[in-house]
Amino acid sequence: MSVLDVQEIAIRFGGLQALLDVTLRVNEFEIVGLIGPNGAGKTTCFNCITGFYRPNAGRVYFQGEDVSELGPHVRSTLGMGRTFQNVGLVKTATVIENMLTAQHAAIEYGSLAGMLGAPSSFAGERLARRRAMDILEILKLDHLHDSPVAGLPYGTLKRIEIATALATDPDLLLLDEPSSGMGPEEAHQLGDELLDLRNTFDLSVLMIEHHVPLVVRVCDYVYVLNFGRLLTEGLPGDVQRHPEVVAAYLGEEDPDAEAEAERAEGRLQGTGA
Amino acid sequence: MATALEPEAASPEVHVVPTKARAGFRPTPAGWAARSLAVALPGLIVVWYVHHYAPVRADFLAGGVIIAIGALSLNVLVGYTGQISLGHQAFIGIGAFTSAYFIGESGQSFYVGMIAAIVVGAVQAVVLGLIALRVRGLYFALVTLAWGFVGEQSIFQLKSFTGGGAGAHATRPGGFTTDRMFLVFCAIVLTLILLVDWRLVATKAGRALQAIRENPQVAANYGINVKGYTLFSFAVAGVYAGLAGALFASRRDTVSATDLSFYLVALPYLLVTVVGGLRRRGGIVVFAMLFVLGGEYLPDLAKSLHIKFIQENAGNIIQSLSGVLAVLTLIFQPDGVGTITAPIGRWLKGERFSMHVSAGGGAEGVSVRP
Amino acid sequence: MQGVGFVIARPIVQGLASGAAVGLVAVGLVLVYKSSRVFNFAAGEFVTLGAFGTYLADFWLPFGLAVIVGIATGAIAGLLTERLVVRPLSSRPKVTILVATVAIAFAIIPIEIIRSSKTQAFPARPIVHGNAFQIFRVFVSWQQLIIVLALVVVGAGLAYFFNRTDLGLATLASSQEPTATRLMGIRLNRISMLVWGMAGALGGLAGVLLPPLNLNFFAGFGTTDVLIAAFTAAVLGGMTSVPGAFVGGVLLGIVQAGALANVNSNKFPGAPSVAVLAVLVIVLVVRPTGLLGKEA
Repeated sequence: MSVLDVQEIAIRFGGLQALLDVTLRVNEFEIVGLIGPNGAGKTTCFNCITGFYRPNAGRVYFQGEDVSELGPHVRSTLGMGRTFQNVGLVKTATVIENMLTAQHAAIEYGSLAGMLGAPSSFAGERLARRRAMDILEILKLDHLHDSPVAGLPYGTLKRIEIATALATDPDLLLLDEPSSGMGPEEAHQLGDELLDLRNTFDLSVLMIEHHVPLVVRVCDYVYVLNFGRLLTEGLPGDVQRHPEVVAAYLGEEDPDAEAEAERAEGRLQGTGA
Repeated sequence: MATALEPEAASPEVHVVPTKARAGFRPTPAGWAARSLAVALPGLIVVWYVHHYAPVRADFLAGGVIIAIGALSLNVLVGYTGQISLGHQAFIGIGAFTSAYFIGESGQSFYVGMIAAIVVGAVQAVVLGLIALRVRGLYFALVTLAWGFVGEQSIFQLKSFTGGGAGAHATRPGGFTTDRMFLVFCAIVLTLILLVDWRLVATKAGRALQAIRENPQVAANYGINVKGYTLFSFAVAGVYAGLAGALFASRRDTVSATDLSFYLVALPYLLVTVVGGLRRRGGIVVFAMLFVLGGEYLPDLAKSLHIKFIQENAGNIIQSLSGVLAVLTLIFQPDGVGTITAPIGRWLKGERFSMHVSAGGGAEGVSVRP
Repeated sequence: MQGVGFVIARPIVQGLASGAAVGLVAVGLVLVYKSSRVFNFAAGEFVTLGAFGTYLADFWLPFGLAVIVGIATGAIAGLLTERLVVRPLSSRPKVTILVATVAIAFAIIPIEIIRSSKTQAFPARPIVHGNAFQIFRVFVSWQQLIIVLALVVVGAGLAYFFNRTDLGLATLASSQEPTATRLMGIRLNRISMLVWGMAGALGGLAGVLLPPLNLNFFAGFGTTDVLIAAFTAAVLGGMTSVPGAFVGGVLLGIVQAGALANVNSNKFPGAPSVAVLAVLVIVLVVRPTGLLGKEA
């Protein structure tokens, strides 16, 4: 059974057709990659899936249920955990506070019970704290639990964000460029970690990623977006060699297109794969 | 998507303060004794003071407690949710007149009036909250300001509801009719509110509000119903304000529209909140008391110094100085003077005494949702 | 016909005059908002200080000079606000500055109350006594006429300033492109002071013109009676549009005067303030860009 089924979504901002006829699917226990040049509409696609944008056309099905009309917090509660490109954390709070906030829907006592000091709320808080520490330990972040979020290095923040997404108790994890801000070494470790997390938490994953070696290593399937449309899809090894994909990365219109193209080629040819 | 941190915001050279040491720290029995004494001593002084001096002092202190409750109501909106209110005279006044209406007109007991004030206070706050969902940021401040004046110039002038200019009568709760006992009653209500406020912040609702204040998208992504919790926080602020209003009405036996003006309620309560410290309930209570005591003691002081001008205008001088103090606070200590005393608060909670600013991201100041 | 005069013409005449004065304050709010995105809640006290300035100077000086003192008092209050409060907070969230301007009002009002400990209300002297003419059986006083004329003159002056003078053009440029303006060597601090000074002077002018309509004024009246009307007028006009603020002020004045004249204040007190809230909420919900604004 598919966990996520996106059917022909389209969205338009003013004169810009940001997405058109995008159809993609994530099966249970799969790690699926979503790649494409800058401005291809990858993050917009995430926003449509998680409910921050309402597409002009198309449907989004999550675990067989049509969630197209539901708000982002409902989709999160149903089991979509997401990270943001620029780090979506409460930056005035500490790491552990973020982990607790992320468990909002999972915590069983009600808001009023919490305010009025019901015994269940104290027990619930202890339980939530233990769960938070467990997840942080798995990601080897537990030593940072009391640190304010503001001030931590970017790469660490990206990993903390994965931890908070896991704290929302997701069935599907949507990761927006999880390896950005990390060196090749760290990115490699992240790959191992993602494969482990899938087993530990019984997850399916959809990830936007530029680091091609990572995509090739962990993804079971890859979709390529270009100018808001699906360019191609397939197994990572095939997609990587697809001529149109190479052209899309090369043809990126950028002030320093030359350098960008070289980098894109480097990414696509993959070094370690 | 404009979310949270830019890469630049994370400065790698900041070293994380090792926190294990503090987490493992437990005070010795002598340490706990010192802390208990530090709490008990001021309390005893207050009890002795109220017991020893004329009842008028108790009445003033009760006024301070009521301001503290009203300021805590504002703190829920401005501090926790990130919504500004410049119309709190309507919040407090609607509670006060509702309570007085049930007590004076219908002959109900104080407690019925108080519960009615809580309910009506929450309802009017939620209605305002519905507008806050549509009107964002600074523009919402204008709506609250206008709402305050509607309260002052229209609702509070309705003869059938408030007795018009003559004011409405409200008795004190049975057993708490003397000034001293009424002060005790106000202190009990304040204590209950402080407990609720503490649990609010320590549990899921408080964290939800913090996330919403800082970034509604992150909050929604964490599974938090942004609209629902925004309204929830308005309801909580309305409940606190309703309680403050019920006490306000009963304190002087009569309440009239002139007591509940923008100048006498909305402005001082907001400044007490800002100066005492947003999200610092201890600082808010302390500064509310200082505000009232200043007005009470400055005349005595001026009299002993033979400065007639200050003696005659003490109340206004205190008000004016509070305004100046608020500006200075905003410039130099954005999270309020409560920041300065925060180390004492942490020590009392059983942590090692340290001047280090712990937890959270530090100064946030006044902020509203974009 | 008595009916037409009193139901329609009188609120229009009265609203036009008081609304024009409110419009002056609204223009000050718009200038400040355009240049720095700040909501200035001290603006009401610029008005009261203007009224006090004229009142006090009138004891010593010829009335014409006293009027100038009143305007200057408002301008100085605006300059001091900018220099002592707004500039130190310029990098902070706008709401912090908003609260700081509220605090300024709170610091000024008690001083005015101390001044009024003996007399609650101060008599306000019109610039020219008596009525100018009659229309639909409604008398139009010279003061009302002068206020409307003042609005026209100020409007023309501002239009000239912003469209024809270098300084005015630089001020506009700085509100649209602060960085580019700095690169061009225009000193933003100077412009900020200029804008706040102008806002203060406009408030002071309103403080000179408005009180004679009610024959007197009292401590803090600018904040309690004028401020929210001026903000609503500015929002109605679009918050970033100077002509919008004029139009908004006049329209709101007429709405308020109409509410006052046609609603029984015994049964339904405070109709003008309810009208202000209604206009504010409707504009913000239905058309946040106002009548003439280009942005929300």
